[in-house]
Amino acid sequence: MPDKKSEEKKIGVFVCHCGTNIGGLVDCEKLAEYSKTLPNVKYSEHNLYTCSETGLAAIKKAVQEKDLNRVVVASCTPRTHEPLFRECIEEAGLNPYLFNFVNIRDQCTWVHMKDSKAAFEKSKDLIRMGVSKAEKLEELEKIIVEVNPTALVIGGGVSGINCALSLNNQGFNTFLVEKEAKLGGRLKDLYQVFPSDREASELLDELLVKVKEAKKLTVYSSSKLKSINGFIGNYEIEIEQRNHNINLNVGIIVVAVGATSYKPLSLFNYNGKNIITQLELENKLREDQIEANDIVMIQCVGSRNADREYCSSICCMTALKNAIIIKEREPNRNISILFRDLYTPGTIYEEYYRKAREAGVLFIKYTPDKQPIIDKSVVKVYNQYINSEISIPFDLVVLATPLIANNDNRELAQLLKVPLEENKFFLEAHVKLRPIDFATDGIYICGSAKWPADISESTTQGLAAASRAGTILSHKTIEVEGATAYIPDWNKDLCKGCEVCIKICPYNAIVKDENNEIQIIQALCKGCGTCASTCTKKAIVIRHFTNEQILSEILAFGGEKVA
Amino acid sequence: MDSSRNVMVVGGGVAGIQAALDLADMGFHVHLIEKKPCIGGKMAQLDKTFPTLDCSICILAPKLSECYRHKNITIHTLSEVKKVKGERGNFTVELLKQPRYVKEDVCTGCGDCSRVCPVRGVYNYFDANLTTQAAAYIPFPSAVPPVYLIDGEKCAYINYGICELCIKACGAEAIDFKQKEELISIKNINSIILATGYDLAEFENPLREYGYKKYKNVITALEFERLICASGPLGGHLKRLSDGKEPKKIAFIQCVNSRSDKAKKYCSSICCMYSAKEAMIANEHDNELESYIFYIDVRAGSKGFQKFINRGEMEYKIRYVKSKIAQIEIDAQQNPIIVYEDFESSKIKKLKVDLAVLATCIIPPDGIEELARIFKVDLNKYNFIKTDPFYPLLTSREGIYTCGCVHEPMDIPRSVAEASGAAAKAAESIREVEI
Amino acid sequence: MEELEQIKTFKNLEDKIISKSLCCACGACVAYCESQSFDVIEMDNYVPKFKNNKTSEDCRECGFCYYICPQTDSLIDKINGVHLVKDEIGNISDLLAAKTNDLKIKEVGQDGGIVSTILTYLFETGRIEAAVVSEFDENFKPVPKIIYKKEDIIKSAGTRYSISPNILPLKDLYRIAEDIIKTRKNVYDVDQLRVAFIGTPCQCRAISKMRLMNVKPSHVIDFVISLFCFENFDYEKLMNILDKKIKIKPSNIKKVQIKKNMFVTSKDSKEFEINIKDLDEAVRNNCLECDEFVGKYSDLSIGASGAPTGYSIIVIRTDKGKTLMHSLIADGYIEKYKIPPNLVTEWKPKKLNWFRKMTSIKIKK
Repeated sequence: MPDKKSEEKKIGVFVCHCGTNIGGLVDCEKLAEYSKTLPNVKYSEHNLYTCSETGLAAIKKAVQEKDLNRVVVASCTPRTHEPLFRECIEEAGLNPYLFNFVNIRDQCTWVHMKDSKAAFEKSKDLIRMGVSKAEKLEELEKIIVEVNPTALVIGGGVSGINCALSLNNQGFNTFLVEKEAKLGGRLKDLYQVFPSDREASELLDELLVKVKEAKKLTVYSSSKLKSINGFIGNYEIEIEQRNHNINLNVGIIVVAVGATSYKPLSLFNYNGKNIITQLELENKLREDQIEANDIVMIQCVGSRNADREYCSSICCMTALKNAIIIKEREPNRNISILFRDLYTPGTIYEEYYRKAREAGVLFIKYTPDKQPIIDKSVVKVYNQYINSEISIPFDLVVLATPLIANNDNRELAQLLKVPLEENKFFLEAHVKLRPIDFATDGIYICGSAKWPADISESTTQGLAAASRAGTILSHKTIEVEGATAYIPDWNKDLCKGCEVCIKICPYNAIVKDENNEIQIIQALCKGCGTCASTCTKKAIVIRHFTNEQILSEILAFGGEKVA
Repeated sequence: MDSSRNVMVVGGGVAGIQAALDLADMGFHVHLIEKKPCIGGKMAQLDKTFPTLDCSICILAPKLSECYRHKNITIHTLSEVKKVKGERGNFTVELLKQPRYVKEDVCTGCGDCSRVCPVRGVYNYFDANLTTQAAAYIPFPSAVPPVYLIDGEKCAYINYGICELCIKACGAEAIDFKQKEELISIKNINSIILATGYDLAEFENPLREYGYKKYKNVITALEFERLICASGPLGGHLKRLSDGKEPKKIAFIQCVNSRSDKAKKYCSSICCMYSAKEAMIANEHDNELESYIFYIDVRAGSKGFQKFINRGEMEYKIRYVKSKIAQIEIDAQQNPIIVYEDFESSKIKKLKVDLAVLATCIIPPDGIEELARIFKVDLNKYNFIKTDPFYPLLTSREGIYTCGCVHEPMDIPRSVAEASGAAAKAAESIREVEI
Repeated sequence: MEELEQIKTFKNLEDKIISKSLCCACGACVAYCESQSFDVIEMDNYVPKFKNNKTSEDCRECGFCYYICPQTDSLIDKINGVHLVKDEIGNISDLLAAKTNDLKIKEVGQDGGIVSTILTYLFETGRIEAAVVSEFDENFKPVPKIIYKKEDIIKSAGTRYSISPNILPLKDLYRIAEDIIKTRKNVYDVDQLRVAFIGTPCQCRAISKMRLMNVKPSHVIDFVISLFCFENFDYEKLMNILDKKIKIKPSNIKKVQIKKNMFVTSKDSKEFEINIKDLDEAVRNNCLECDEFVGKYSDLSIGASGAPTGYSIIVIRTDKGKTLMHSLIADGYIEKYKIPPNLVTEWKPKKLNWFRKMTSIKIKK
């Protein structure tokens, strides 16, 4: 094909009626005629529905018969139709980026429904701008990245194990890296797990059997992550196992490092002896070492306060479970649970709450402004319903403390270049729509490393991470958007290394390489434009939205060039 | 192509869509089955979502588009599963597809048929039945697939043989009254994911004890979402339906029909969060608006939830009153009066508000018993699909997985995560055959 | 989809009904067509016809005008089913006589002033946003109108004795409603409006056919009251006769009543009587072929025929009508006629037979 840059630009403009949505308000035939008068436009037509099979066929026909090398469609919204038209001109033999979309529906006829004259004039303006930009469009290639069909899961707790097993079952080689000597994470510390009376050890044994049988799964215990380089599909990992360095090449990474149980060192006279945490209670229950007759459990210790403005979601169920165990063994023991709000959502958990009440556990609500006080051998708590303070004698106080982020989250986050939120848990790409992805492609997050989660949710999220990873690992190569940011050769001198772009990139796609030069990792770049608009030296250019292209639109609208 | 790489996802809400997208991105072929004319489920009907207060349809629409355009996903709307035969690795499923009377591959979604249709009175489920539409309609403007449909019960042509105005108006010649109910058989399905979502208490219970339907100013949370939504009947300018007055005081009643000995015993999970959200949105529209949330326990355990609740109290004039209310009365101006026990003073008190919003319980979707029978999966005692918390996402039948509210009330982040998880199970099942 | 092989057009309507003088000038066809903005037909001196520069080429040929026309056979079986009509007087749920307690209405009301009182109640309790009624202009010519507040009811009190195409104003529904929505804040779009319709049996029949098909603009009609109607007159012809016989000009007519003969009260308080037979020339042709007297297709049918003096008779046909009448009585808006104790058992059957008799006289005509 001849060099497109220097060749004559031949633009085709297709104005869509969109039924009556556009055509009912403005004269599309006149718009098509107008388009013909614009510079570089060699052909124009108007269609009832440009997106229909007939419309697309008309575009392809015009491209071929009139030898067009740029296409502009003036119709509805690129949100829904841009990929369709790009594909269409690709089928006609053109590079898909030689297409420009002009929205004269949502942004014109729909919002100016009462003023058809003004809508018509605006449509002309928009088309004129679109044609001007089209003339400046250049061919772009989508970036092809090879994918190494191997996965790395960091963290061998219930979430990480389930993730690794699923990846194995999907046929991908998987490395499971665990910093402790044994797999299992917090499952090793737990006794019976809610909402049943199954034991955590039993669940763990089941999982370990599966791990052993998993043919594509390799476990590195007592291992820590040392460094990571690369990007999606091609990560180079270095781990250290008992002073040995091991290099791994993987396609994706899953973070499943879990969380830590908070030790309330300065709260409620915690002493680890008769004022203990729920986790410590688990151990005692396992050894059947409870002798206390009067037990008071206090919820929300160290959480839902100024230090940690969150609810750890699993502590209420933990307290209920342990209370039920104690009551089932010795119904005569007195158990009071001092709570703020009881967190037992859903079907099974709410049932558990009822079970605890029916077993005779006493529930006393307290408010955050009047915290319970440990006074020698009684717990004093103010209750609104009787409007006075209650003194509950105790032999044992059990404090429900939250799960908090691991100390080394920051270190790991820096290695992976992923963000943490304010409580230092890992921050996912989008709370609702991408809860398991990081904004950086190719890295995933699951389990309590993201947010306190019970076994059920940790398992689910581990599976979810395996699925998300599978969408990448299933392919030999992946295609990445071609309209990315880059620093052209002629702008390289402009860059002063201020690093604002690195900080501001939401996809962590910008790095400084060994030569101290800014590199925009094409495979990670989404072309959002944030870096280009903040670059203090205007060195960064966004393909398909270059300064030249945007300026041409403005000038076509009627601006004057400022010297 | 290996024919056992097909998965069927039943239910086109956010969970079904996510599962379908994951599997399609992995290279498997997905049949996405949806009973309604379009996908999107309840999430598409919401105004904003917690805890980020971003516009629901805005974040959902790209996923809807992706689903629609994905080469590996076939969407079957107006379809229900009637028969399932076979086993994991090789299911055969029979669907019953209702006639749309519009050719799906020809209709361009322009809406000319709807504008000319003279028949009215078709209740719009999407607007919580607060509005009615023409017999030729689309549930909402950005519906996917962007195809109109004709209500067979009210269409004058179907019932009386006259009219044909839509046929004359349609430039694409997409109207097709010859369509009939269709039985479609899909073979070689490796695994099935059930994601049929939920219904709400008011769908099966008239809630008379709360004055619902009796008093115009007692509405449900879903109705509130539609009223405050910019694409809803009021265009986002909240006013009450009895007299058009803009409410300055709203009462949100939690645990309606849930956590109850008389109705459902379980907790509906999401209502604490969505009532706070609705109060915050209402206050955003009118800074003087005060809200009172009558609750039992505030449940805000997931990421960012507690902070959201705190923000509501501090910045959005929300006050929490711990009380399961006794009843709602009404005065001569149709103002709801909440009768409740005030725990601080141990007295019965009355609070007059302009509008009362009922946070109604999530219930299993209509027809779940039939669904369970057809798929031969067990239901738990609450009639949700039965799962084991330690082997989540699995049903009692091998090869059939589940995610989202059809097995347990849950919010969007959890539904989306579960959907990916179910996709992983399906992927494992397919690969097992291949490996 | 039983009857028609081919959809009937407005031309068919002209050929079968209008040109044969069977049109009752209810306005349904024009109201429908105009509310669709087809801009093809209009009502010209009580006759529906193509607009000036329009012909059957412009007709959309949808068939609705034919189907909803009360004078065609279409859909009669279906509306009989919906309204539980089994005989010539329709479904009777209950029967009573009553008069208004409202002094203002008493002054201007025809008999018991019931219709005006009902509308007042419906407006006051917010049950409706509008009502379709008929007002008199200065020349005693009935003008159909949509009213939006109870203060306008007074102008529509009294009986009309010439054609009022009551369905016609609904053609502007979508245009007028914009203003209403601005003022009536509890309604958020036109389709939410609740409108009460008052009309003659033939008009109520048209409304019933339209509501059966849920077709615009009848979908906003929430309550239907039909008025007893024995026959109706052509305005011009009637005024000519009155001028000839009693030398009265239209602008001087205050009230007209028919009780065996026609009684006219002038604005300067003179009373005149005209023999009913002298008015035969002015009777509309379609009335001669009508088989309804009380109006079978309504929530309530109201009139003076058979009522004690000063009262109106109300035939209750639906639950909606029943609830309304009970509320009116309970809230003191109207006073129920106390049937003399010795006549109690035979009162209702007597009235029903009277209606049957009146209907059969009509049919024989």
